[in-house]
Amino acid sequence: MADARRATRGGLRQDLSSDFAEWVAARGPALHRFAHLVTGGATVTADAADLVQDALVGAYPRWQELARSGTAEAYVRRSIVNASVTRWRQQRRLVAVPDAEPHVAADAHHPDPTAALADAALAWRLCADLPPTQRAAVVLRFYDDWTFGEIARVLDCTESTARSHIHRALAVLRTRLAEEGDDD
Amino acid sequence: MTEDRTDRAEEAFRAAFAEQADDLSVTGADTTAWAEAARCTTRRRRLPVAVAAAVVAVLGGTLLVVDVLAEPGGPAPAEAPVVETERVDGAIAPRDGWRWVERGGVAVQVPEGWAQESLMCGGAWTGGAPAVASVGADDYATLADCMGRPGRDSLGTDAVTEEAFPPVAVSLWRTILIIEDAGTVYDGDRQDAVEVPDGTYTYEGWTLDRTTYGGTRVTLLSDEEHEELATEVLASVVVDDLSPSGCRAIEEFGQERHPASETDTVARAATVCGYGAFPRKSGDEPVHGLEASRRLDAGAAAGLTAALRSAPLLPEDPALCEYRLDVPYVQLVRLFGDDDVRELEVAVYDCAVQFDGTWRTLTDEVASFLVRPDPV
Repeated sequence: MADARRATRGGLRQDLSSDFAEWVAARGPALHRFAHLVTGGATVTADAADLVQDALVGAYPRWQELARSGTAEAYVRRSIVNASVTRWRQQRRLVAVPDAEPHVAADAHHPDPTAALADAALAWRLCADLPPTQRAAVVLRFYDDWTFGEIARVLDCTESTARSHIHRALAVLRTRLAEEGDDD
Repeated sequence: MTEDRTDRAEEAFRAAFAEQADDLSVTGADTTAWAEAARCTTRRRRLPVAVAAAVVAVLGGTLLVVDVLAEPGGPAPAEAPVVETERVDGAIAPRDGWRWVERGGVAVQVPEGWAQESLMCGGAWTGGAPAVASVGADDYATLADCMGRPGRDSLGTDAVTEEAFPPVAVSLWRTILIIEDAGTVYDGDRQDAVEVPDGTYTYEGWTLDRTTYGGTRVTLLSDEEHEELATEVLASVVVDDLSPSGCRAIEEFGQERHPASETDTVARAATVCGYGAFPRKSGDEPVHGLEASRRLDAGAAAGLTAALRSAPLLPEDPALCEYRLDVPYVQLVRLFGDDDVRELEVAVYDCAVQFDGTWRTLTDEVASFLVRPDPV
């Protein structure tokens, strides 16, 4: 992560286009994974890729400043989070119906034999229930290993808010893990 | 809430994300296309869906049928309040549309629409809109019906969680911020009360966050609908000897002050600080701790000054004062001028207020500008 971040900083180059393209090539895959996780893994019409592309469209006009300040990664990720929030609002009227063939590998009805896999499945289901900004905070913390300060810059909030997002998500997961344990 | 569970929860998140995303691949052609599209500076927008459409999506392993009129993309919700740190006319402004709630050395921002409620006799538990309650250790504080022991079915949780949540039916819960003296005892005659340590407790979509800052405790009960708002509220907590509104957390009354007088220019703003005997232990001298505050703009400050000017002098042998029970019994008015701060003590229990070097009668007009923390 540190190497990738250093790649986003550095002096301004004359050829902004080349610089931008190189940055997208280097960071694109990570941004796509981030968008995939923040949107809960939705795959219809490659929503994660759409979010990344839209975020990059917004970043390019500002590339000179973003590159100079080293804030491109935070800016693009914030755009992805904002877009996922909009998408979340649109989907608030979703009606859940039973799925006879669940998509994810870990299925609540056929739990994996190991406790760790069952915990992971529970955590993923919890993520689907989290508000998008809280979900983004959790992804940044436990997938990208970002600090609370770095998370705060992406979410455009205070560090204490970022900590609070993580703290609350962990609290809820702990409760659900305990409930699962009681059911065993 | 053991450390083992904490690690287990973190590892669960890590494993979940690794499983979901590690194998995702993006080709060089994909990233080239992204960069090219961005450079074209054609902002590609999703076409708003003008009619209802059925879209099948897979989210978190559950098949969802979407029947929605998509709204055009909007701005993300605001995050934590931007806390201004510069004092203007003695106060730090809250975020637009928010207000400060202050007690002791703690201040919290809440949306202006959150009504002030009283916890006395369970009156706040209506299942209604979000609210705020400020409670003192000397208040007759009970979370439930005054007529008897609270009646709520067991939550089926551990004893501490059981104690943490309101002892009324879940249907009566609401999102509420409670700021209180840490020594407040609810339903004080209960001998079997379990001590609830600070922390986060959850129950069926409800979250209760409890944190003690010295002599003041902040508790926020929130439902899923107000999850993000709750995060913003909790992130706004400020702990300081001088509150954002300009009140000292502990005030000493009867001291020499720079008093307001007849000849003063009108104040630019004022803050009225209400105090109670907080905290108080048997045998100790009372310490006057901040219970609530009220901010007056220039117009209101002028109104207060005019009311003070017209208030009669306190008689040397005053008649028995009808003690006002609806406001904190000692208050301090701080008038912020261009170059100075003038202070007036209000001895509500004596129906008296300082002004122009004298004690005046606390008239109804002057009292209308005082702190009134509890709802009418």
